[in-house]
Amino acid sequence: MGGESPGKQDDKHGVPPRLERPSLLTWLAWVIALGLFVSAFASSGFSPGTFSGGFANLLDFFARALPPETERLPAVGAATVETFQMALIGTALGSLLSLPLALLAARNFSPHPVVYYVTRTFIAFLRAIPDLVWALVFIVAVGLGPPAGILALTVDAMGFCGRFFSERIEELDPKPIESLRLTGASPLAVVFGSVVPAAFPSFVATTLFALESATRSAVVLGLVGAGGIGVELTTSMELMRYDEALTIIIVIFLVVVAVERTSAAIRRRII
Amino acid sequence: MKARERTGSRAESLGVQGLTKRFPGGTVALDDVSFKVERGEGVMVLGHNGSGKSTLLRCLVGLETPTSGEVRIGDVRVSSAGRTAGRRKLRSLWRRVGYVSQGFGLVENLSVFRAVLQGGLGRSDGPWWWFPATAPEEERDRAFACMERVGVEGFARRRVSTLSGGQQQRVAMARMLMQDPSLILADEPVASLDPRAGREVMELLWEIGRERGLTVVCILHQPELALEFGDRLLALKAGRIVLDGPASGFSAGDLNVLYEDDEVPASGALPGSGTEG
Repeated sequence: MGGESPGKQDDKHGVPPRLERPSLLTWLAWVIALGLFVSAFASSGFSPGTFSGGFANLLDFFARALPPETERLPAVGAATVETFQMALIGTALGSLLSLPLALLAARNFSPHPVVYYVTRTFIAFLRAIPDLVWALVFIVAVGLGPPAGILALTVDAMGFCGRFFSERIEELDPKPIESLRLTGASPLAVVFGSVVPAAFPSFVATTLFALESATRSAVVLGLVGAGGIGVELTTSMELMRYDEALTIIIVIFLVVVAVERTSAAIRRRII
Repeated sequence: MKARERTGSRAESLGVQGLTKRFPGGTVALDDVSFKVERGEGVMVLGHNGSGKSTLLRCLVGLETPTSGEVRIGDVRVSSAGRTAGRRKLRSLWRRVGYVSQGFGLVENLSVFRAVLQGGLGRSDGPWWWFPATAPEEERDRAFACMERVGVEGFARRRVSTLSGGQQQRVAMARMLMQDPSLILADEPVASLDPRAGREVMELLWEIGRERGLTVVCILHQPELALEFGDRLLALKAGRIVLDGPASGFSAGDLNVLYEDDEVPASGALPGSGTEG
């Protein structure tokens, strides 16, 4: 870009050159990006060697994992149900709790700019911390088991739904809301009479996305002891019972796909 | 449908004194506007886009705080000297003011019945009013009667978005009736309707105003409808009242002048204008 001016020697009839000379800033940005990438590659120890060795181990894993062991399927099934229940309760609680949060964090409904910024920051904080970290924190608070996982998923859903609910509320047509206020309805009646019904399809769609993500998260939360099928998976892996582990992985895959398909079908109907 | 025929006991009078609204950018939307509307009077407000009509209506209900001047509805001081009444006072005023707007102001994915029922929310004292399933029996009956009055009783369970513009405006009027107002303010209620639907909506609005003896202030873009339905006409240009008088004193030609670019003669120069301030 820099330095390109009409009337230079090499431009004929004002046709832009095929390659523009980048500005100093663009050069610098490229050099820094390349440097970061190279240094990351060098210090992470990731090399073609580890890759080929890893591939051999992966083959070994599958050799031991096949055929999958179905003996523990009843226990795996129970843990799967628990995982989904954690996701369901966490998402439901999180999306309900995020509604008041979203109203305070929506520019057109927030009672005061300070409230708006404080809630926005709070939601960003909830989102910034990964659910696995929340799970570790809640394990300290309520001990190992599903309750810690549910709390972590609730907080995660609050961050996700809080953000998207508030953005939807900001996009709403102001006319119906104003019309309802002008009937003398109380602020809460206005929220439940116009904001919630108008944004309902979007709220449901967002909540279903949150449920999908919570189902995947709930699997991982078990790895740190916050309940669900992840506990089964770590146990099998640590005992090197890869055939059991594969069964669990297949069950997880089926559940996640089933949840995604169902939620997509529901979304198609309501939007 | 003259003012004298409208002698509703509950109807509100309305008074505006020296109303000026200057927006932060420096635009003067209203410039020292004063007029009074008697109880039961039906006033049509005319003027081209940007003449200050909508700002006037928003100032009347307290949605906009005037820079100076005073607005009164009945015995309530809506705003005075750049200050608008408190939320509580405004809410109790809004219960008595029926507001009909160009965009209908309906939530499109509600059922018609629920939309109409919402007109009663101002009277409600709890969340059971929020949903048709839990609303008190007499309010459900009243909502249906309001729907019958405007002719949308056949659509009770339909979604608002599936109705035509004219039908949606009727639903909005049923909701306004549900409110049981003593004053109707209408902001271009027929602007988005075709001529026939527009005329039907105006007829209905005026019938309702007359049978209940209500004060009606209506912003309109159609001079012919204004002449036909209004008791009195009031026209704004560049934020000032340029014409005010009984509708019978004007012809369509007088009103067309309002929509031309050149200067309109000041108040008093047109026949019938300036009879009442």
